[in-house]
Parts: sequence; C-alpha cells; structure tokens
Amino acid sequence: MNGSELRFLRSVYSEYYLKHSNLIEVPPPVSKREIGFVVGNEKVMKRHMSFQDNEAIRKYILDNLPWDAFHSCSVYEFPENPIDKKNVIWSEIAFDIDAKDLGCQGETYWVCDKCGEVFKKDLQKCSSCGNELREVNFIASTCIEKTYEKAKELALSLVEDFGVNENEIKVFYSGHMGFHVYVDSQVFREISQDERREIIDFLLLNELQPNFFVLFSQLQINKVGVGRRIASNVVKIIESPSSYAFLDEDSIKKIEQRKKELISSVSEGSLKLALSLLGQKILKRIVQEALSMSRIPIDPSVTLDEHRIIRMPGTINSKSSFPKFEVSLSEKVYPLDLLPTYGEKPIKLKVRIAPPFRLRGETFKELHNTEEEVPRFYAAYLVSKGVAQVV
Amino acid sequence: MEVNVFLLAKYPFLEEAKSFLESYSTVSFEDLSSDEDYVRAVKRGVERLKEAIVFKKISFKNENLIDFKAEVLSFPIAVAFVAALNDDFLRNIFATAEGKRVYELLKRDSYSDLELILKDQKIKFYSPEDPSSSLYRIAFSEYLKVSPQKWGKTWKLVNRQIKRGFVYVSKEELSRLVSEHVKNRILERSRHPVDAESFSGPLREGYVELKSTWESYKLKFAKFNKGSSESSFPPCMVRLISRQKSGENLSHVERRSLVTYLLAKGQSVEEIMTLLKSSPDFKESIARYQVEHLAGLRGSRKKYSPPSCETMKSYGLCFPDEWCKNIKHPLQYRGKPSSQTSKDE
Repeated sequence: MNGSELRFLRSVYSEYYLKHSNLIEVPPPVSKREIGFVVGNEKVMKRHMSFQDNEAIRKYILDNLPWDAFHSCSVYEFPENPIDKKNVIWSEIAFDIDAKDLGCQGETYWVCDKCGEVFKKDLQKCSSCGNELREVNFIASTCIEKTYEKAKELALSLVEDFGVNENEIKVFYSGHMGFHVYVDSQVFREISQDERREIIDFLLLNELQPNFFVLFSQLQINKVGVGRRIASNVVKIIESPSSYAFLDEDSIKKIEQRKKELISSVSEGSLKLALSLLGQKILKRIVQEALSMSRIPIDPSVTLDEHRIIRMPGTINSKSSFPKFEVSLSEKVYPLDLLPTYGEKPIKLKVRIAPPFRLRGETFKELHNTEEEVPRFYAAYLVSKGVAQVV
Repeated sequence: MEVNVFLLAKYPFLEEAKSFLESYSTVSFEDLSSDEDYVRAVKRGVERLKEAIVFKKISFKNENLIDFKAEVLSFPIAVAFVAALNDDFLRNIFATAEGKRVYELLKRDSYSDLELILKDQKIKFYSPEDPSSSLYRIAFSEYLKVSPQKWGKTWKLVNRQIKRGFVYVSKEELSRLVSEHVKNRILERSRHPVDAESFSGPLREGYVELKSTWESYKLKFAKFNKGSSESSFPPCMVRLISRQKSGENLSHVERRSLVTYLLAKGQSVEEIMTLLKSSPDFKESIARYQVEHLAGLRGSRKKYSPPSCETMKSYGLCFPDEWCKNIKHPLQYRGKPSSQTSKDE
C-alpha cells in the first residue's frame, strides 16, 4: 500500500468517525477497562491504556485515526498495568464466530504485488514475473448471512440454556467476516476461566454423547440443552428438505406432503411420525445432519481468555475498513445492508479483482483489471484488501 | 432458633455450626485444656486427619452423635491442623475424605438433609418440579464451580439437561455435587494461615503426632520424585505431574494424557502407579487396570500414544515455553539445550 492509498483510507476513516463517533461505545465502567489501538503506518499495537470515559476515547480516535481499536472484556483495578498486575475485578464474556469456522469462505485470489497479475489458484510464485503471491480473501454475502444465523443461535442458547436476559446480550457485526456476541450478565461474571471451557465445549459439542438426547429406542429427542438445538435443526431440515443433498427425491416428496404434521411432532420431541414416514436409515441421516448443524463454531481462544481485548463497537476494522456495529437479534435482515452511511461520494479506482458483493442494499458487480468509479466506503474495502489503487 | 446438634455433628461445616461453636471461641486454648469435651474433640480431630491420610476416608459412627459436641468441635480443629501443616497434598487428601464422608451420609439420609445443606451453603436450587419428576435443578454456575467435568463425560455440561440457567440433577448427583462443594470450602478454609507455635496443651500434642504421621506417609512417595528426569519434560506434562503430586484429582483426559506420555517415555507401570497413588480418589485396582490398558497389556492390546500438541491445545492443557516453538508433539520436546543450561548457570 503506497502513500496515496494510506492517505485515502485515513480520509475515509476520518469521514466515518466525524459522522459516527457516537457509535463508539465501550461498556461501563469505561475507566476500568484496558484500551488498545493499532496506530501508525507500521500498524503498531499500543495496549494497556485507559480513558476516563467514552468521550475521551472518541476524542483520541478522532485525533489519531487508529487502524483498529479494542477494549478489554475484563474490568480491572489497574487497567494500565501489565497483565499480571492489573487485578481483575470481574470479567464479561465474549464469543467470536467467524465465517471460516463454519467452513464458509468467500472468493480467494492470489495477487502479484509486483506486476499486478491475479490468479485463482495458489501458484506460490507469479507465472509472469516470478514474484511471491499474496492471498486475498473476500467477504461473501452468503457467508455473512450464515454466520449471522449462527450468532443468533448462540444468543438463543444463552437465553434458553443459560438463562441470560435478552437485554444482557449484544450481537455485533465484527467489521470483517464474523460476529461478536457480548454478554454482560451477573451469572457469567462469576464464572472462572476453567468453567468457561465447559461453556465452550457445550457450544462446540466437544465430547457430546448424542444418545443422551436422541433416544432412538423411544423415538424421542430430549429437548433440553443440546437436545433443544438438535430438535430445532431437525425441524429446519424438514422445513426445506430440498436444500439438503443427502435427501433423495422420494424422501423430499414424503416430507413435503406431511410437512406441517412432521414439524409439529418433532417440535414436541417425537420422532414416531418421521420414522414411519421416512424409515430408519433416512431418519438417522437427518438426525446426524441436525447434530452437525447444532455445533456453534465459536473461536475458543476469545471466550477462554479473560485478558482478551476485543474490537471496540463503532470502530473500523482495518481488514475491511468497515466498522463493527450492533445488529438486531430479532429482525430478518442482511446485516451489511445496515452498514452505517459514510463515504458515499464516488472515487475512481484501478481495480485488479473484486467479486460481486452486496452492501447497503446494493450489489456491486464483479470487477477485473479495470478502472471504475465506486463509492468511497466500498473503495476503502478494496484498497484495504490490496486489490485496488486510487487513480 | 433451636439448633439440631445431631445435624451439626454430621455436617460440622454448616454455617449454623459456627454459632454453636462461638462459646468456645471466647476461651483461650489454655483454659480449654482441662475441658473434657475439648480434649475429646482434639482427639477426634487427630483421628479425622489420620483416617484421611491412611484410609482416604473419614468414618462416621452413631456414637459420634452421642458425643456430638466433640464431633462438631473436632472438625475446625482438624482444619486448623491441616492449615498449620500447610501442605497442598494433605489439604487435598483431607478435603476429599471429608467430602466423601458427606456424600456417604447424604446417600443414606432423607431429602431434608440435602436441602438443608443447600440452603445453608446458599446454593441456588429448586426441588423436583412435580411428584413424577425426581430431578433437582441447580444453577449452572454452581454446577460448574464444583468442576464435575473432571468426573467424566456424563458430567460435562454438553451432556446435561440444562434449561434457563439450571442444570437438572438426580438426588444422588446433587449429593455428589454438594460433597464436592464441601471439599472446595474445606480447601479454602484450610488455606487460612495458622501458626503451629500458637498451639499448646492437647492441641500441641495432637499437632506433633500428626506431623510425624504425615512425614512418614510422604516418604513413601519420594521414590517417584527421585526416579524421573522431569527437566526434559514439556511444560504441559510438568504441570500435570505437579498437580498430580500435590494431590489434585486430575480429569480423565488429563490423567490419560499424562499416563500415555510417561509410558512413551519408558516409565514402567509400577513407577506410574506410585505417582498416581497421590490422587485423593486413588483406587489401586481401577488405576492399575487403566494404566495397563493404556500400556497395551490388556483388552485390545493396543498401546495408546500420548496426544499431540494440537490435541493438548484443544483440551486447554498446553502451556508452551520457548522450547515448544518448533515441536508438534510433547515427545519431541527437548527443553533447554544442555550447553545453554551450563552457560546460564
């Protein structure tokens, strides 16, 4: 990235922060949290800072335009001290779900920064000039949708399984390929690092004994804990059977014919109707699929580490130049349609590659070795990915 | 409020027992030396601890109820002895043995004892919802606090019925959780510093007697300490060994990782058995079967390999140092190179 790209990105950051600094929101008590920023052209991480309140943080961000900003999930007696001398007062719990952990990846290209060639395969070296290639992962709209669904499942589990109040949970788009679920609930504040491991295993289904919940001999799913997730995923499969490749046409037809009854019986935890209709082999396959769908693939290291600093809500993620912002749990929306408005004026870019991408209700077309005028907020995304230059 | 002294004799850790014992706290040890109840209590306190060390469990007979004062008082005295001896290994042995005693009593007793303890210890719970259900509900945070995950897969949260913040447990399971809670409380209490120099009279005599019992018991475990060359062990295994030696109950996964590693390092079944003996819940026949099974001497005759660094990481058991950087398996660990060792030293 050369000087003009860096200047361009900083101008977009500045525009965003001038317009939306009110979205920057570190949870209280602000002054007892560790704050960290990535600053300077060398992108150096500065940790162990503290600020009196959100206003002071907003001022710092507007003055310094950091690349990234973070706050601690823990509340400390001395937030500015080294980690072993901070003294944790309490810790809130955060979960990070990334599209790649769902096995969902947007388009990937390998770019030669010397001659500008773009490859669909990893050839290690550029076939034109022999330079090393750089991997570029783009955000895919479908992955964002799938990951958002998982974040909602996680939030539902926190309410239904762990008894957390809905208003104690906040779900954020991370600014890149995932979502953060942040919980400030008294019941989680009491949980030690070791105990967090059990919650992680609960979500990742580590060491699960499926036969504790799916009682084939009684044709029943015990709908508590993980069983609730399994039953609801069996219902999901029944709701749209044609989306599941393992189901043959005959089974799909049978499901479609008695869909309502099936949904109602499985919702009650009964597998009797499903067995009589589909037979044991298909039913077992459905349950198996529902089981793997029940895994909520959080990043364990984020949840486990009480000293972790997490991206600050309302601040820009330098991997994409999109901000992290809160999304609703109840609405059925495509989260990136809700991206705050900034950088709407167009700018001319020389684009090496850009797959199609939906943002703010608009689908940006595929671009390949072309000069194109695009809105500044989208231009910042392509520049951050290293696939475009300001003309 | 009327105090049920028999209940306190059975469960002397109850908060209620504290007020019962208050009368004793106003008198000095010297004044108590001639008090017969007190002398018997010290004797029983010594007995409690000796039983824990030798038999790994503490008895409870009906005659203990007759001499209820001594029985109640013997408990804080035993805790004071443990605190004064100040050894984590002993703390674990004593707390586990007391926990086991509570579990055995609760198994025999009616529901009322269990519920009384839960209320006394401020553990959030609900009794079975209706007569057809025999399941209690306990707050998941309380459930996790007693670390039942160490007891095997059935106790893991992922395999439990949990709803709206409460985990469903049977009366027997709840009794086990309560006994583990008691164990943890005793561990905490026995960490409060107690200066043995402040002991006099029967207390002093009891302390001296216990100190000698404890020292000779500890000698038995010296063999393993001498035999192993832990300096070349990776930090993950050193941690497990140190926790094992301090008398902590390792989880199934932890114990399996350690045993397979030690077997791969060429340690014999007997050497490993000596190390495992320090577990508070040690059962010779079960432990031997498990070690021999992992060594490929039983069952499928398959010798099990220790887990890789990646697997140790996923268990949350990886605590790398700078010599772990380029290894993928704990067996590849070589530690600090010998030349560097001498230079540093």
